Amino acid sequence: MRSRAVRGVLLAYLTGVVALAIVVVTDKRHMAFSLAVRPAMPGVVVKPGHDGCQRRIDVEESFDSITILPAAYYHPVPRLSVRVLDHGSLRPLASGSLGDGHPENKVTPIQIRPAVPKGRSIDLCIRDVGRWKVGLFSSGPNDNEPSYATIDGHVQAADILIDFQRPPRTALSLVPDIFRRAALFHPRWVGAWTFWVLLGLLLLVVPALLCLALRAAQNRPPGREAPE
Amino acid sequence: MRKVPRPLLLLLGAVLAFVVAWSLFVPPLQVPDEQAHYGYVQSLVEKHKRPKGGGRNTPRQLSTEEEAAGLHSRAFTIIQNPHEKPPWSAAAEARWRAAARALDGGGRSNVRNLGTQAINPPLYYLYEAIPYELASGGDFFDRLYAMRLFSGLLMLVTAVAGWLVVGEFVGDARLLQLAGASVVALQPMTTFISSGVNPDAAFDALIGLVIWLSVRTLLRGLAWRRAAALVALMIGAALVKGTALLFLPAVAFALLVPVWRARRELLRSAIVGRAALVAGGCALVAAVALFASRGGGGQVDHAYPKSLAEAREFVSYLLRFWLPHKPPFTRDFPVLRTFPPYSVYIKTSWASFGWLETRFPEAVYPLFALVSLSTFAGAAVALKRRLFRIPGAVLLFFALMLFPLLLGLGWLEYRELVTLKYGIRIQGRYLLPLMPITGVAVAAALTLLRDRRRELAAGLVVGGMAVLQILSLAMVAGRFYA
Repeated sequence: MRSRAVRGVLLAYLTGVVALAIVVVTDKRHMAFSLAVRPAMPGVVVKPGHDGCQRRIDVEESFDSITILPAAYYHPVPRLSVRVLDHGSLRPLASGSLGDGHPENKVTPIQIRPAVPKGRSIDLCIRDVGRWKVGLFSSGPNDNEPSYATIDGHVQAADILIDFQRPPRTALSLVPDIFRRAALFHPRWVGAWTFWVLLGLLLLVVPALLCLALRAAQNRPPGREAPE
Repeated sequence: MRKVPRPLLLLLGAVLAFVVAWSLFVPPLQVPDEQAHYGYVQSLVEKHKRPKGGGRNTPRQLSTEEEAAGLHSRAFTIIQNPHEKPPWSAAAEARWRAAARALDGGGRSNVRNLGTQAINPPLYYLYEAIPYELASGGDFFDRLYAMRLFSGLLMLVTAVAGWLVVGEFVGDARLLQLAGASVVALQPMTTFISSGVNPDAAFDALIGLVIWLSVRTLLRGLAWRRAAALVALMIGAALVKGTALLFLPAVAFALLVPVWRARRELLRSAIVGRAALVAGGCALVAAVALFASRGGGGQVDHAYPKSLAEAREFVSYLLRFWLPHKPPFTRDFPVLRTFPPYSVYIKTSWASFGWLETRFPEAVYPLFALVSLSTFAGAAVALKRRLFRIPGAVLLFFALMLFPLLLGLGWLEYRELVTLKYGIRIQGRYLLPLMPITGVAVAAALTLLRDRRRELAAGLVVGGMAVLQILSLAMVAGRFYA
């Protein structure tokens, strides 16, 4: 391997792979899953003593906290009580609460105990236990079929913005999950294995092809004059 | 038949790997306007006619099948919403499969309105009708991904065009040719767009070949077969996107220069005849472009300034667009305060995936700007020192390819802003058909280095482009799947 051009390719690849490795080892991700709701407006307004729920949520990954975006109309966010229920039986699975004094219009985390395991269908209810109303940021009823929002059991034309969080994991540890997720909504012949094969191709075969291309390019006779 | 050069063949192998990766890894309908382009093909195949639409404000009404697929895969709500993700559970996919089964093969023929994409000419969509038809026994995603992979094959043509254009200037210096071609062949945005359902895939490929034949004509003189091929390619490009019109002055120039050069050797009648043939060919291209894109009416309300006041305002707009500070006595356009040459043409031509929202950290883009400027500055120095030769006519041709395009995009954007009050909607990817010119600039800049350093730099360019693709794919993974 004497070609400087080949060394150039390998140097670029090595630099890139090291940079990528640093990123995937240090980049920690909290999101268990999301409902892909756009924060259009505080469209689900819950009055004191009432419940706003987002129902029939697929638990795509175990979670132990949520984030919401609350509006409190020039007040701090009122105290909130959160309950996670099994969708079918309405059996309580976990709970959490938000104390006084949180500023409004900011993404607000709420711890849930115990962690809710993956695979269930749940209802998540937020009860206003404070003294003034809270508006939960939401979008119109969108792509979260079959999930839907209710206030005191009445279906709302909106979905509540809730993101589900878990303890941080490095991007590297998520690679198998990433490939499994990427294979959804694809032809049946595509699976996580497809992306493992492609990863191998891009990290091993492509640099080999490019090195061979450069060697072949250098094996040509010396250049002639460029045309006028 | 000439043998395909081995370096090109190996480069195409690498390009193919990236095409498959981009095609399969990007979530459905997360390539710009992919849902409308898919709908166009669906309308052609299922209803045997072009879709309705054309208005800039009319909402798209896709087929029931596509709406269902988009709904269950959250394809529409995650658009430009970088914090939200597609569903990650098999249950969501199972629900879509149940909904798709309920359609029982129906729900494909009621595409009702596709907005501005409806006025696009049909050639690319006819090409994409082949995989749609081949996969028509499958479900929505079978067809979508077959179409993506088929579209990605056009990236190979783009890569070959890059190789051929650079080859016109470097003779047998294959290393320079490979380095220059790799900038075209491994450009992440071109690969991303070409590997989705998007007519830019065909447009970039055809314009790449147009550049090659135009340069060849300028360097080697007029040959009628080549000229006919050039006009045919331009007609092909005009049948893909009406934007082909903006390249017509450059192509006419490339065809007329050899006629002008031969004026002393030819009879006056022969000169007039050849010039008339060139003019006729260009008129044919223009007619095809206007007819096929229905006059372009959906894109812009009128094609040129209708009054002196409008012309002055447009000049103000251009000055505000291209200068970092507002010059005195010109109108301010607040949306242009981000210095668009950088925020639009640099950022969104290098790396802006999904619906433009999937980007590297801000700190990375100045590096891209620096690399872009250094490349063209290096090429200019190489030309000045006569280390690399590009005839003046070819430089003028390159300028004629670029400036009408910039002017046309500027006009489009200016009218959008005035009539619809939108922010900046043009994107750097609209310049990607001209990537072969960048390939030439890279080859030229490399001649500034002596042999050993040049070899190393060529390797760094080729490897760097491939690494950029891998980092881009990693970013896409973080955006959608983590």
